[in-house]
Parts: sequence; C-alpha cells; structure tokens
Amino acid sequence: MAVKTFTTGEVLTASDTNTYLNNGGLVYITEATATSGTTLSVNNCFTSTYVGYVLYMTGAPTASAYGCDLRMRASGTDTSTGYYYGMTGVDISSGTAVANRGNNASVFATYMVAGTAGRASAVLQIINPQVAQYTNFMCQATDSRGGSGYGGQSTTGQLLNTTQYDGFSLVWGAGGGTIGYLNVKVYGYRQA
Amino acid sequence: MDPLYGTFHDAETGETVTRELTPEEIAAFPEPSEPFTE
Repeated sequence: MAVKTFTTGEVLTASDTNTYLNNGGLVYITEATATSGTTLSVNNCFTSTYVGYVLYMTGAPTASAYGCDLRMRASGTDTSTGYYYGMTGVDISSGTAVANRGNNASVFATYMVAGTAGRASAVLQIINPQVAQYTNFMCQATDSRGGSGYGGQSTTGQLLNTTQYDGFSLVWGAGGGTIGYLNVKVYGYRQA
Repeated sequence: MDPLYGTFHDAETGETVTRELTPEEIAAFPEPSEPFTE
C-alpha cells in the first residue's frame, strides 16, 4: 500500500487515519499462544501481501531445557527436511565460541533455549515464505540458563525448496519437550 | 503412551483450537533433540 502524502488544509478523514495507522512499516498480523501440548502451529499468516515477516517469540518448556525449533507449513502440513543453517554464540561459562549447524535438517533451530528457571525470547525474520523461492531465516535469541547457557545466539539459514508456505509450527527440542508457555507474534514488513 | 496435543491458530479467522495430534502428524515428527544441560 503506497503511503499517502497529505497536503496543508486537506481534511484528515477517519478512514484515512485508520488505514495509515494500521499500515506502518511493520504491520501486525496475528498472535498465538500455547500453554501445553507438543506443538504450536499458525496457519494462513504468510500471504502474498508481504515478502518479509518478523516473528517475536517467548516461552519455556515444562521440564528440562530445550531449544525452540521451527518448521514451515503449507496447507496444514509441516516440511520436515531441507533446512540448512549455521549458528554462532558464546558459551557463557567458559567464554568460548560455540558453533552449530543444520545440514539438510528436519527443523530450523532458533537456539531460543529455555529451561525450568524462566522464559527465553527470539526475534526471527523470515523472507520469501510465500514466494516460490528458497525461504530465508535470520534469528537472534536468548538463553534462560544463565551461567550454564549460551549468549549471543545468531542463526541464519535457508529452507532449500520453492514451496510457497502459509504458516509455521514451533516445538521444543524437535518435539522432545512439552510446551509450558509459548507465545508468538507475527508482523509483516509493509511493501511500498 | 499419553496422547500428544497441538495448538493450532488460524490467522485468517482468529480461531485457536487445541486437539490431539493425528498419527500422520506424529509420524512426521523429527527425531527429538536431547535436552540441554541446565
């Protein structure tokens, strides 16, 4: 949607006000929360209206510490192969660098790691989910394990297919963990 | 084995449902990860 330029003396209608207040640079699309179970899936959040999206996530599993993993979803079915990614971070206890990767993995690992002590958060940008191109991921996340955890997790990668996705699923530990709390908000980057 | 559940949110309708996962959905799960050290 193009930005409208108002001129001096022009009447600012309620319609225009509502339209342009609701269509800033980052546009809210939806929000979902789970407080139990194994998966949190969001359908029909990726459309051709936007090319780039941002997910804000926060949560923790019920027991033990797990990382939050994402799978892309099309027409209600998750894709479980083809994720390639690299992660860098710091082991807070030792101060040494940490690196992990997914090589044709079954999930995109956000490295948002939470244990029993508290929730962690992540900001995940997804580019081209609804375009017939590779889907791109860029994620920064926190770890709630304190001195036994990671810091500075940054993970980027791609899903190497041209499927047009309309949603995603989140799980703890590729499904090994149970959801204690998981909230995700989805925004789209406004096109011109 | 206790049934597995999922929460499903539809951004178009705003509806959220929690239901038991189907055998197909469970079969499609990846290999679970080991927990991280706390």
